[in-house]
Amino acid sequence: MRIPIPEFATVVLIGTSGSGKSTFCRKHFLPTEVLSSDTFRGLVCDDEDSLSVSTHAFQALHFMLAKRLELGRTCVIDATNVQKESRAPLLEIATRYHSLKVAIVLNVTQETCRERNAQRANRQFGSHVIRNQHSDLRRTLGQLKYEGFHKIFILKPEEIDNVEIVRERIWSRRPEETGPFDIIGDIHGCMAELSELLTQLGWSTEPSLSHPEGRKMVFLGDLVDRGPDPIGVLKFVMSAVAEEKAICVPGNHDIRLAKALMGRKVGMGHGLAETLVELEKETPEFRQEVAKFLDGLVSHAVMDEGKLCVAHAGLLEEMQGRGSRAVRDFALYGETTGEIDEFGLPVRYQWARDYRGKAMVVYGHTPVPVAEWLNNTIDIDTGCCFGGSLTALRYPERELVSVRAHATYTEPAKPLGFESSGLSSQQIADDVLDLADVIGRMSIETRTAGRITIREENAIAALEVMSRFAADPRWLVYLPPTMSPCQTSNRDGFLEYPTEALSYYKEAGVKQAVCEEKHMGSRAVAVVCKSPEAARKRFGVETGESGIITSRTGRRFFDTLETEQTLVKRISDAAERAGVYEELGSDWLLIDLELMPWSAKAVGLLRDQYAPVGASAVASAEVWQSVAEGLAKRGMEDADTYLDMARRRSDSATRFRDAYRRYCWNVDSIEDYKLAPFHLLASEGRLHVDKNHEWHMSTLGRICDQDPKILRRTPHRIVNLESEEEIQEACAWWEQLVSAGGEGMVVKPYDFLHSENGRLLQPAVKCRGPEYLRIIYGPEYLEPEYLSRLRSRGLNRKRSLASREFALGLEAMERFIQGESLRRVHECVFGVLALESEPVDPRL
Amino acid sequence: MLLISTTHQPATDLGYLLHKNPSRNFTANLTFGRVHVVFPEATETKATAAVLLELDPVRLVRGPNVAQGSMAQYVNDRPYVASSFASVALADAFGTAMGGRSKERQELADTAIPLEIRIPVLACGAGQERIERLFKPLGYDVQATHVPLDEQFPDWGASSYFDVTLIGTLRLRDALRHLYLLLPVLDARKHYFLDPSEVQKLISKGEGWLADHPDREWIVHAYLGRKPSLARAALEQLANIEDQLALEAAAVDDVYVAPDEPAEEQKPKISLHWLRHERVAEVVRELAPKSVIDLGCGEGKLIRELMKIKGLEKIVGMDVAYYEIEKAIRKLHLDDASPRMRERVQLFHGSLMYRDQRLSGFDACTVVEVIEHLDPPRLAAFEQVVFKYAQPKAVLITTPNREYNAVYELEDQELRHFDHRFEWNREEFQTWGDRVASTYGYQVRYEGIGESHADFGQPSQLAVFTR
Repeated sequence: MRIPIPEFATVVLIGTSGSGKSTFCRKHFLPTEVLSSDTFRGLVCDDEDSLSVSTHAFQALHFMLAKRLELGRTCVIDATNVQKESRAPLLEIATRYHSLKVAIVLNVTQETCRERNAQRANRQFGSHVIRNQHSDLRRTLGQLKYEGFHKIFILKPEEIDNVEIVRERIWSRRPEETGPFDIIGDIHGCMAELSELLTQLGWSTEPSLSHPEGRKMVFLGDLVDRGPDPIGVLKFVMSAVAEEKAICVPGNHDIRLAKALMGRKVGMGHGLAETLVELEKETPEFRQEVAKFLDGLVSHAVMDEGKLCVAHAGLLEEMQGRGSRAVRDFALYGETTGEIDEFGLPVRYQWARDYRGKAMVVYGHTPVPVAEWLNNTIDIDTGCCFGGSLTALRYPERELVSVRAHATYTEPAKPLGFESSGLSSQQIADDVLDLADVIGRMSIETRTAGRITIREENAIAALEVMSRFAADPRWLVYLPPTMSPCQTSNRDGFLEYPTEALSYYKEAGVKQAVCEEKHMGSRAVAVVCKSPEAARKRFGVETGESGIITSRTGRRFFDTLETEQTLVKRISDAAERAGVYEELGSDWLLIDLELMPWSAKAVGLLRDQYAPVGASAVASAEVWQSVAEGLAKRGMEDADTYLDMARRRSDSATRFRDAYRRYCWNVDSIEDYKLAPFHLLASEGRLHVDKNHEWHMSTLGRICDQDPKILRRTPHRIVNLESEEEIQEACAWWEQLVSAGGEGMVVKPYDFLHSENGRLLQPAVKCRGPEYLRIIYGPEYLEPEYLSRLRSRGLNRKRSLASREFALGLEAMERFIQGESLRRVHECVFGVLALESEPVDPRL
Repeated sequence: MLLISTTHQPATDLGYLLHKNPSRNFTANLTFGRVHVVFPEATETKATAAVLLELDPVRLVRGPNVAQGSMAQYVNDRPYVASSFASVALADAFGTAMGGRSKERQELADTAIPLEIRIPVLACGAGQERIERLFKPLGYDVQATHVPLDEQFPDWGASSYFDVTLIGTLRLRDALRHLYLLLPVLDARKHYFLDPSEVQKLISKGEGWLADHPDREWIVHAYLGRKPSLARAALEQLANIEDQLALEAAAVDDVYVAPDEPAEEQKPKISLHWLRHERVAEVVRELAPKSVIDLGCGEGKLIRELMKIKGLEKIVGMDVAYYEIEKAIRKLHLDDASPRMRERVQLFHGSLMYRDQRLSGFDACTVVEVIEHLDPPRLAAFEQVVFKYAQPKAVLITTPNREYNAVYELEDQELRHFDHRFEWNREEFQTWGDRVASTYGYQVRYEGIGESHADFGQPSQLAVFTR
């Protein structure tokens, strides 16, 4: 006997003690699929036969059932299940997870059961037990079909040993359908518009229906009612489906029509009466065919290996690829609670607002003025029958194609676009982020570095920093990664030297590197928009700001909005004059830059740490000097040693002071700020990491030239890493920079992204000058006895951190560019901040 | 670094007292570097011993027993200032002298002689006055001048370093012991871990002078850092010497403020803090909610008040600082409270910048002195989190009344706390409150908290939103 069960199901075995359930399970199911009451008795109390722990055992079993069903795993319940009360919780749990329910009854005679139990040492209970179970079972056989099982199999003793269990595909799961698709919204009898749309999409009907790219059509249902030609649409769709050129999911109108055709009582409003009048003109065979076609439609389809889900009114993630009445109702009618709005329409809950699923959901049902993305879902019912348009979504291209309705065929109850506010649906939905998305351990999938894990303790730290200090998350589409220094140099008098930085890339197979002067200020990120309107439109920020300048940790750089907005405007105007907006077809830019002076942001650090160390070092050196002079005056024999020590201390102290002073100046006017941009990261629709650094330098250089009082070009040079001579020149260039008081330089591969064996290289490595490093390692770090020890430092942690932060930063921008939800962008930015709380030597 | 001079004649006897030969330079290795004792001056009329410390900055960061926190920095003032390292060096180089023994000149060691001690870089955050208060009672004439921080940037203010000269006629052993205890006390940062043996050091080095010192409590607390238990032990031991101290020792935990930790709020506000909680709890009592959530609960001071309210079945506290939540759990002893108590009082880590399911369903919500810690552009998120998503039946919000700052004599733009992002006057607060109330369908009323001033109103303002 062949028993078909769906690939995802809850199978309830029913049979008395000794009916052979466990043997049956062993034969037909995976051990992990079987949830046996005996096993759970053993798990909770070490004794599989203890009946006194039944309550605990079944609680545990129910919990496990729920967890497995949540994950979409088939479960087989191996327990007597002869009473309705014991089956009820199983069915309730299965319903909750939209699992199909199968009952298999092992209908064995009392005698057989008694014999079997008699042979087992642990089953010596009174005969009344089996007797009672059998009378329960008899009752069960009558009741079963009213309990909500989708399939019931009652096996006679002689059948039990000859059973073959066959797993059946769930109809809504169609992973092999990979597209490409043209997904078409609610047609409602608008055949003329459908033909026009298909032509635009490149379909031809001669000699037969086909598309040169081998595309398939997907219809989101509501083929009929309201529009002028429901029969035409039905004929077209039915034949396209029959020819396997199309996939169709049902709409509520279609199902209502099917019911009407099958003689069931349904409401005649909203165009059904008219459709039926048209159908009356057709043959009875056609009407039957229509009824069969519509009735046979599967509520939704999950395709392309789970990447795409189509349903008439959308579908929650936990319902996709599953089957229950709730799934079907949701797919047909959406999420409603019975409330009716002022137009007499059901109030629809914005399920898409909270959608977090992996699959893109394409749906219709609710007419909208324009199709808009919201959390990777899109409603493409643009109300053709109401005089709107008929829209198709090209998948996987994510392109929208529409044709205008030729007429208003039906007056809508609620005007299209009634609730429009000017912001996109995504922006409205993204008003405030949800804590659930950033609390606890996080796992973020990135395009460039796979899955990146954020530990809970780091997320905790990031939550505090993000909440207390960071700017509005809508502005934070990127945080820069930390940057590792080069390996230490063994050269006398140097801790870092360019050779090590250049050889890092050379050894990784990079042919050309870029050396950029490192400005000593504070790392900053600027979002610059052409106007407040442009900012509002793209970033959804409604404060009238036209950009922002934030620190590495997402905090606004300036205390006053005026300073910030003035600088943003200066950059924006310069970009405008340089023609960069136009060239990139964007009205906003995302720029990585260094902001000077250092003292603008670091004044606290300077006041509390650098200046005091300088002051005490200088004061103490003076006393050493006078002590040493006293010794010399007294003619002490090693006075010279002390004089030398005093001289070195004084030298270190003054040089230390000079080192930090170089990067400090007072800011009295806006032009005392200097901004040195070095990456033009993104603009509308484009992430510019596919361009080399020469492009970044020259494009930004053109912007800088438009406002040289504030914007500074970054001196740089390109080095051919295969030429020893060019490497020498780069070292000389660096020595020149640092002896003139520069911080040093940053070395990057010529191309923005460079991978070695599939892993991204460090995006940049810094090489800092000896004087600058006094600020990092203290006034006297160059003393040989200190320097030799400082040379040993591990960079692995820092580099791993830099790589992960870089990948998260790229991912954040990529998601933003793709128009993904704020939650998805914020997750990455939050991740960067969380990683920053990992303990790493801050001097690297 | 330290210079000790005497004009006792023959001044070169200083060498005998310190057990160091003025004609030889002395160097010793210490765990954290080297100490030198040299005599830049050694004549019949005046001799000076210089204690020079070479502190290894790399070891501070990388050595065994790495120092904690701000001490573990390469860019560190430790090598240049007189600090606990100097104390250790003094004890090492002059152990015998500090013990009051001298092989050759015992009589002189027992005699008060004219001494001049120069500490060229003494770190003292507590200011010049404190230096004088500590040394003057011990018989020194004190001269202290500020070491400039950075002449090029006068805006950065003054340094906390002083070039100090102490002049007095004392036994050398006493002077060394004073320095031993008082250098780290003034510096207020110790490089080693405090353990109970510190109490013994304090008692023995302080013998004969500490018990009588008018600032003894300050000294004890500063020396033992933030270890109140150690401080109490020390004061009790000192109390055995002097009965009077016993009383003070018992009360000391209540009055003490750590010397390097500025009092968070100004004096008039300490009672305001309490008044505010009292008033908020009173309003909650009047509203008679079944459940209340305190957003920004900190260490749980308001929660403690709310717990007293009969009929409140659920009291939840949330704070963005995880550390505060842990502290509150400790302070309220929630970890080992009864199951019923744990059901009634719950604390969790969260944020006012993110909507949060856990904040929903409360009858009342208190937000006490929180909004002024938010950047103004982020208030919009706060409003939505509380009023649009959490939707408590009543919301109590307090914030400072900026007008009242005039009473505290704050500068025009000065705010009451370094982390306040803004402070509102009454009109600003009410404009905001009215708009929020009308947007989200609440009624709102306002009142002041604290002593009332005819022009400036009350120091704190409360808005009560209900719906």
